[in-house]
Amino acid sequence: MSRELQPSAVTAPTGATAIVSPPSSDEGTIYDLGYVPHEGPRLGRAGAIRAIFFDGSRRVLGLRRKALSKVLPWALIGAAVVPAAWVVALTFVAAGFRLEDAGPFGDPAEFFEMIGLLAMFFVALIAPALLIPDRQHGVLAIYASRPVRASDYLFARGATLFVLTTLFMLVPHAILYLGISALYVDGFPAGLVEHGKQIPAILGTTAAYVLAYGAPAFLVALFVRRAVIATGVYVFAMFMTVSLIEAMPRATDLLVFRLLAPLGLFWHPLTVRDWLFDREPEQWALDRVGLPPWVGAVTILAVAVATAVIAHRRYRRHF
Amino acid sequence: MATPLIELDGLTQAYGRLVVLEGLTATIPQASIGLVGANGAGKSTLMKTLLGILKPTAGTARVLGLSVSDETIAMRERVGYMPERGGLPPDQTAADFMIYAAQLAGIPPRAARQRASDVLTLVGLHEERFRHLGDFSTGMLQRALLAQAIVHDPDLVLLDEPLAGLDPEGRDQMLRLIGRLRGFGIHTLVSSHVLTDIESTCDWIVMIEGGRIVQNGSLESITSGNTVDVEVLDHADAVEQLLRERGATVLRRDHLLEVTTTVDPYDLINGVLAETGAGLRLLKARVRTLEDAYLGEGRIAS
Repeated sequence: MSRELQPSAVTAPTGATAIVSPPSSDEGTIYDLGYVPHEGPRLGRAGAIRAIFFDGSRRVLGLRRKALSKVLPWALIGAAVVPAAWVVALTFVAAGFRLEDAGPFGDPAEFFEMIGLLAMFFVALIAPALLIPDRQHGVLAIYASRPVRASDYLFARGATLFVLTTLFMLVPHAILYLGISALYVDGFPAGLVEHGKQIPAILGTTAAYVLAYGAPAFLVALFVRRAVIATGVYVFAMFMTVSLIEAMPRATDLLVFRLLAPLGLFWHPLTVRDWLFDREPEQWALDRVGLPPWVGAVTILAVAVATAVIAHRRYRRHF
Repeated sequence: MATPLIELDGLTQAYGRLVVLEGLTATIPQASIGLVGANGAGKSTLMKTLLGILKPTAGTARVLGLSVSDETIAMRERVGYMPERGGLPPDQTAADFMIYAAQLAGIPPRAARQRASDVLTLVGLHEERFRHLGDFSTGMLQRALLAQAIVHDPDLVLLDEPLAGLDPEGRDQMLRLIGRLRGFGIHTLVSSHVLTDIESTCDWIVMIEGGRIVQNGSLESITSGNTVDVEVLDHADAVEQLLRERGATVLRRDHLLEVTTTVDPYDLINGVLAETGAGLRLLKARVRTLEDAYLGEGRIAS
């Protein structure tokens, strides 16, 4: 079906008549150009996925939103980044202060215990913000009228959650890595190489955290109708698993505990961390019942896959 | 011949055992279409089916020549939709949401910014473009919804009750905006309960009743009828008798006759008057509004 360019409209959108005066050298002329069709390229689904990804990022960070919506995400980002930067700065300016003496800040593996907890709160905040407002305000109807499938929408939203949480965890790590390397006795480049050996373990543990904490938050946000309630439900559920596992006797081989232990998602990233950093197990949920660490990794992946399947089934009817 | 805007072939839509649309078959040309029907007649279900949100239980539907089931993505690039309720995030500015709505349809970022600015000007919201949508009035929200529906330059836009909740001034503005779309090469399918609004913006009518199409034709063909009012000066009895003999239906009140016929009523009356020698005082076509037609079809359907 072809579309022809329409002649210039002479009625303004509000109904007022536009003035079109004859052109002359010393007089301005007002032209109502009317409607200009789009004749450029269309980027299809890839363009839509990219747009949803960046829209989600702006939304959860409160960018181009009112000031109040920026407070919580940036407070958490500050809580993650500022201490790391502060400790690194101290090592440069305070004589006798070494990173190794700065508790978890001097050891990437230990630092995960602090940044992981903050990441859980970050995920609790952003996963509901990514999904719930679109349902609450009927915006899914707009997505459904665009060249977008349910899988595209969910993929883009999931990618936003994954990427932002990964950055949330990795930026403080990067600050510490650069700081430690800069203080290395053999110089900065040698420090980068020496401490760079831990990068695969840091990336793997970060992925375990993001999936183990992100997938359940995404799952809760699929069903709860208000973002604040979803945040509360998620945090409550995660801490419930902590309590359940804490109440579990150590070195038990009872079947009921062996079945319950994989539910302790809160602890699994730490199990994976010990595995990847080749540390002595610290009696996390799986260690207590004698299950190997790969069970934690498999459980995290299984929860993530199950969340993806449930999300698709739930959103398919909207698209 | 131009591609029909919409083609339905035995389209059936059912939720479990509840059949909402039953065997719809119709060819709708490129026009401004009015979708008319009572609450629960199946209008919104038909719109969702045309958007590819609902998969047909049976039959097929094509929009702009593209199958809604098999070519959904390609079809949606050329279609816009204005939902009846919701659809706008209150925490975003009008400009930001229009840019996003354009990008969702695959328009590149720079072009999306230009188009967002253009359509907001078009719907009279340019001055309000940096206000959050949550601060908009009902009329402004409806115009913003219309803007997002056309921001990606569709060939067809589906408007689900676009005048709902508007005051008279808002209705007037919205009707004029919808009327302008045709001039831009954008066809419209408007669903509304207010038949006078449909009459003023549409030139093709699809009437749905109980999940079935009871009328599908041009507004002119639906509203024009072969009924005329005739007032004669004398010989009213003879005129009435002769008209009845020639197959016309006649309702008479004194010298005034309401004549309905299947042939051209003017030729018929001309001949009868000539034969009877009756003097003519008044001859007037009976104008049928869309509401008359709708109520008539409603009676037939029920």
